[in-house]
Amino acid sequence: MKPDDSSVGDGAGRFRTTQWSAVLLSAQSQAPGSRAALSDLCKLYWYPLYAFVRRRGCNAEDAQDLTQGFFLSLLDRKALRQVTPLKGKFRSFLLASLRNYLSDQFDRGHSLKRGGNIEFVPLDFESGDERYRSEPHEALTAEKIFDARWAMTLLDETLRRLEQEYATQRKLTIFKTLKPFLGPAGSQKLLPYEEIAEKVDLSVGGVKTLVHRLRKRYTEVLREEVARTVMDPKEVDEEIHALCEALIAAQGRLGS
Amino acid sequence: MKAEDKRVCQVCGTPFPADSDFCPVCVLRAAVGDDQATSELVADPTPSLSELRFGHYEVLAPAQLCPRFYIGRLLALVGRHSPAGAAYKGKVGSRRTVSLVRFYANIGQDNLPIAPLTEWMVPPAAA
Repeated sequence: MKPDDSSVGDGAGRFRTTQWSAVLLSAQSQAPGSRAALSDLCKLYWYPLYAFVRRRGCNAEDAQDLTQGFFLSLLDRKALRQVTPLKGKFRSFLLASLRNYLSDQFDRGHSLKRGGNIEFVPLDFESGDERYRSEPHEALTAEKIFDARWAMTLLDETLRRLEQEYATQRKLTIFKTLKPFLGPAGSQKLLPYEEIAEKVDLSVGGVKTLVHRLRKRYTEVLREEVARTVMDPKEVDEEIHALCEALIAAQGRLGS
Repeated sequence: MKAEDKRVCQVCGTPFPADSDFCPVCVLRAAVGDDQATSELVADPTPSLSELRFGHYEVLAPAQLCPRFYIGRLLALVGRHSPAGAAYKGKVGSRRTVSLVRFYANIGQDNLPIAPLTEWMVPPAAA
């Protein structure tokens, strides 16, 4: 099943500003909407979890069932009530919860088939497994791979949101033309500003301004995305540094 | 992923998937302001050759120097038009900003070995 495409529209927009802390507090106070908000976050970050389960030796089918089963257990408010509000990151919470869940499931002799193929959160397992099989995993722990995949998912989502913003403003061509400029100078060959100016029918100064705005907005969106997954906005920088380290450790072994 | 599916970022040296538009580590660092000086450079990512020359010297862009930069990554070219050469700011590890680098390379003598940056750089401890 394909991911819920509607999630890029109004549905996701409702929770775009929801942070992990808000989700948690909401769930613990049994306020309505917390389950949907958590589901929204899970839909976004399911692949690192799925790949983690595969890395633990499960075949694709079992990994799919386990991932869905895990989400089901997670969406049960009882699990969230047990979380201490001071326990920082959504990423850490998910990984620790998944570890516990897997441990329980294996202890029960893989009694995970209770749900069969019922999907509790719509996830694109087909492309997920194809992606997983294309990635090498030697010399990397499951935890390191998880963190690096999390970082890549976060960056993908940031880019997707930004693209959607530009599309809404009917500036998709500009976005696609200027996207390579999001990287630092010298990281790759870039078209000269003069050439871009001609292409998009703007002055060179205008193009530079657009690049500046694109880069600034990208940073804002990225930080917003990270902020959704930490308990305190003050932890955003720390989380970004941690994700940097995870990517460096992965040495580009993961697909984008 | 095969080796040919990867690229190495010329700025931070981290390999990343070839199908990425840019280095993920660098954009993350930019989001926490680690590359503030680099961002200033990006305002003109494709300077013309004349801008990269003064006198009979050629100034190499940070991307060209980075692989030889032994202590960390280059942050900025801070003195492109200095008569003494080109000055760079660099970083050790993820935190410490260190000395400026002055670098020279003769134009038209591409086969001339470029002096290791260690010879041109103020040692970090003395920065």
